[in-house]
Amino acid sequence: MKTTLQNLSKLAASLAASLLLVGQLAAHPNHAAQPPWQAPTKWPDRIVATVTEEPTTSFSVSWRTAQTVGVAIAEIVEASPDVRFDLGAQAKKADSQLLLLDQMESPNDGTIHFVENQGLEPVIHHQVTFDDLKPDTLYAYRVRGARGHWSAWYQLKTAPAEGPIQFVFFGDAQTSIRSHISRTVAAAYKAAPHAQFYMHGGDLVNTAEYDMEWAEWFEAGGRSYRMVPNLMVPGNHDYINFSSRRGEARQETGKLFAAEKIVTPWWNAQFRLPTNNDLHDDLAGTAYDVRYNEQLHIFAIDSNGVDFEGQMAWLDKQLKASDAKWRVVTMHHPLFSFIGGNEHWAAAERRVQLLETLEANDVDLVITGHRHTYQRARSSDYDNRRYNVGEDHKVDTVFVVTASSTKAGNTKKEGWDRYSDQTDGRYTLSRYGNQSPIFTIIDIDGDTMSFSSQNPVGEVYDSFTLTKQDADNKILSDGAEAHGITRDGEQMGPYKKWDDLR
Amino acid sequence: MKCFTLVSLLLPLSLMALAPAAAHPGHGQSQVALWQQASPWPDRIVLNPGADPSRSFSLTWRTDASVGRTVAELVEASEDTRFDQFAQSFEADTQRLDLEVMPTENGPHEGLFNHGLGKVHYHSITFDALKPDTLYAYRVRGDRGHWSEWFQTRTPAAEGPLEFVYFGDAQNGIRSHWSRVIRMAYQTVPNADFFLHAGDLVDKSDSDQEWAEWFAAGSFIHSVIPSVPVRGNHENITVVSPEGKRQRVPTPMWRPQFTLPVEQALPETLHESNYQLNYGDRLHVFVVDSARKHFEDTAAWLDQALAESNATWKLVTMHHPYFVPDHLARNKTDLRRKAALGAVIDKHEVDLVLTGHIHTYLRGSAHWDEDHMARTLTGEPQSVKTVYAISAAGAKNSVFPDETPTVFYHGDNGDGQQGPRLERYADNTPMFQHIAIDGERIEYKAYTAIGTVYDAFSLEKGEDGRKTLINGEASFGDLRLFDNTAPYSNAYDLQ
Repeated sequence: MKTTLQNLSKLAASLAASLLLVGQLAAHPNHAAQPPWQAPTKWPDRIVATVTEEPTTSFSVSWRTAQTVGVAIAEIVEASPDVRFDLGAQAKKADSQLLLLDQMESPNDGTIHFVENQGLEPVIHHQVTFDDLKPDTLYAYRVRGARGHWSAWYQLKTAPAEGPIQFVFFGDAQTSIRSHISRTVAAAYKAAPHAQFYMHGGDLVNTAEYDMEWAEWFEAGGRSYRMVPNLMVPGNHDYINFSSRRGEARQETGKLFAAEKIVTPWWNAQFRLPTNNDLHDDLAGTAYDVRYNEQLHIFAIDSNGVDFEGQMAWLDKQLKASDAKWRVVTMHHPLFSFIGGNEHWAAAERRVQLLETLEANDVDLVITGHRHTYQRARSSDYDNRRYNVGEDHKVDTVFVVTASSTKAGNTKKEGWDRYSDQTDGRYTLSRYGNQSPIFTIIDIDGDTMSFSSQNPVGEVYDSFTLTKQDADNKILSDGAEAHGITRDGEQMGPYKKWDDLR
Repeated sequence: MKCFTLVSLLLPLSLMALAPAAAHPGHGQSQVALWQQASPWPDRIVLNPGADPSRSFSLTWRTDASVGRTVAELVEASEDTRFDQFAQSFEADTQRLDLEVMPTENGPHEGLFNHGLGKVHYHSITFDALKPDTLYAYRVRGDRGHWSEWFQTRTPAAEGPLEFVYFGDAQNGIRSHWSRVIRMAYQTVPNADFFLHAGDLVDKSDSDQEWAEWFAAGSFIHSVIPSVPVRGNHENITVVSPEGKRQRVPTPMWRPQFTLPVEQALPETLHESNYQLNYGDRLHVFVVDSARKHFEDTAAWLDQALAESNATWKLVTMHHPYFVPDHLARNKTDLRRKAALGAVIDKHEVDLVLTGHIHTYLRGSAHWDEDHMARTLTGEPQSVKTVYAISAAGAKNSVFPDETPTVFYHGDNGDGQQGPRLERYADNTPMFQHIAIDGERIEYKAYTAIGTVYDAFSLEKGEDGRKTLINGEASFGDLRLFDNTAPYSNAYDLQ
């Protein structure tokens, strides 16, 4: 009897030990390989708020857990000053999808494997849209992973139906995201703590399928991406290019745009964005428009995506149907992406298509990334070279390019000058700066749209205002900072490539 | 009745004993959230001011016990992409803490809440000889190659305006609920020179999980805005000495986690819990540890420090609102605290006394005017000695069944003492206070967690040193009381 008991207790002990082992393995399959800020668990992480088609009455939230969490929920309540503001919160079940990290099915090459993510277990991404909300109202929400594993309560305000709007635009994050880009996000949060939304102009990461880079993106933005809804377009680095994975040369005629590629599966899993275009399925969540409120309409174009012609026709149609006072187009590639460099003929062709659409519809602002530099240009229907910096003058469209990344682009000013000559001065560069991360704060108040482009130490590098005097007269006025020293050549501190950074 | 008391005492104790066992079967770490676990990566990165905060700050961070010697890097921030190239490296001091058996003033303490957590390392560094009003970038390292992001922080200017935020107790629902308060404070005052936490940062200060919550709730804010932490009664723990003597002693998790100015005049046991911060001759902050049994040393230090202070504004912060009337004193310690510290504060006519502990919001002043009550009601300027505030930021709110919390101020409650009188209060409302100093003037605003202003006053110092208080518009708004706000339950369900 005694022996049996001893055996039993031994058995129980070894059973407990093996259960413990299993438990640990299941909880942290890649514990050693992944930093704690990358590894999925039963707790919600990578929480991000995104804009919907109706920002005055709704917003979406996405988050991630380990694959053991099949069902997740979120809660929402109107925020109040009460200690237990949360007691009347309403729960909503999330839509959940499994994401394989180490492989994906390609259209023509079967299963392709992502060596960067080797050994990483699948994860589950959860998404909800909170709707039927009140405009300009502070809500508190939280999201859940496994039972009892809740996030903190985050507060977020819906868009105002009318009145002033403030938002921030970020160019490419892309490299050294956690290490360096975080300070740009931090500086923007400090400079505009009540911004109503953020726009990201693509190239959020450098390698679209590298999970650690996405972990970095969320680490860098963890401070504010949960409180401020985000609107993003993919850049070329957010695309998985099957042609180049096969080793096909990029410079083959037409390959630049004809390559077989698809937006990274991380994109729609991590970000719930509007899917309101009537275009190709591959453009879901990458090309869309958001009528932010009475005053502002935003058009997101996927400049890497399929069917650029179709996108332009759709943009034209949407612009013609929009009666918003301010119309903003955002996409990754700038109009004059390769000016002064080896511009691909297809890029030049695209520019013509895009300019036709913009000019036919009097778009106010085109804001983009891609060049890893700061550039601000304008178009008008006359030779605007006769106006110096500081002189108010009439414009059609303003073009802004910014970047946060540690890649250093250089503005090719001579290319711009050449283009101005070719267009009889209708397109000119107003201000540029190199090798300094810049974000742009944009304020809309009635007939004015004000721009403040700032660096991560909180200095304003460029500022200007657009004022709509009437339907035909939009006046550009430069702020004092537009006259500052241009960051170029010896005006910059030394640069070093980013590849020592993690 | 006695039996009932016994049961109610035993029940939570036995639950407490069960909880760690259930949470961590066999000392495994599998149930410990990643946001709590130490790793080779730096976490819990907190910035504290040096004694001369315009020229000095300290960093403290944590790793697992595998990380021995490590470093931090510092550089003046620039707008250049690679601002970091010329950063200087500094070696950290490293301190080991065994979370399961912690050393205390009363002998080793078994950390019941920390089963399976083992040993961790706290690293710290103090930067001196910094430039005032300068934006610095820093990063800290765990294991080789395991760096934090670059954080930016601006040293306070040597002169000119200053601003800071003051919080009452966080303590309960820290990650879940207090986080929205500190985030709203950051959104409201993103350029604050410091955040002051007036004690009871956590509930069980030997629980690593609660500190994990405090750090998760503040997240990057703790790394970019200097924290001025004050010890509360919940930063004490009960320890039974090897000889069987039960004693309340400071939690051994305080000093490893924060790096604060050391007052050499005080005995070692009071280091990093009583300290002074000199923001030029504008503001001197005196942080007082009121969570002790005896106050002779502290009072002597405070008396001398206040006597030597030439600052325009003198601020004392401590956890306990020692100024409550005698009949609310619960024990001899309360009376001793009031006698020892209150006398010093009165003697030096300290301008502001910022406290917590009561889990409600109360603000009042000691006056020179006879007709102060009338002046409070009409909003006329009042001549004041000292302004006293009690605030709370966490998810615990006191419900006073038979009496309003207003009795915490002397008012006209008949105990015959000349103490501070209440001017504004609130139930059921976590708050943070923004205090801005500009020369001879202070602007005070108390905000709710949704960013609305609930209380406001300005304080102006005349040439004779006398202060005039003018209540702001927000202080005349409707009172928030349990009767007219949403139901309050408690904070026990929150994690």
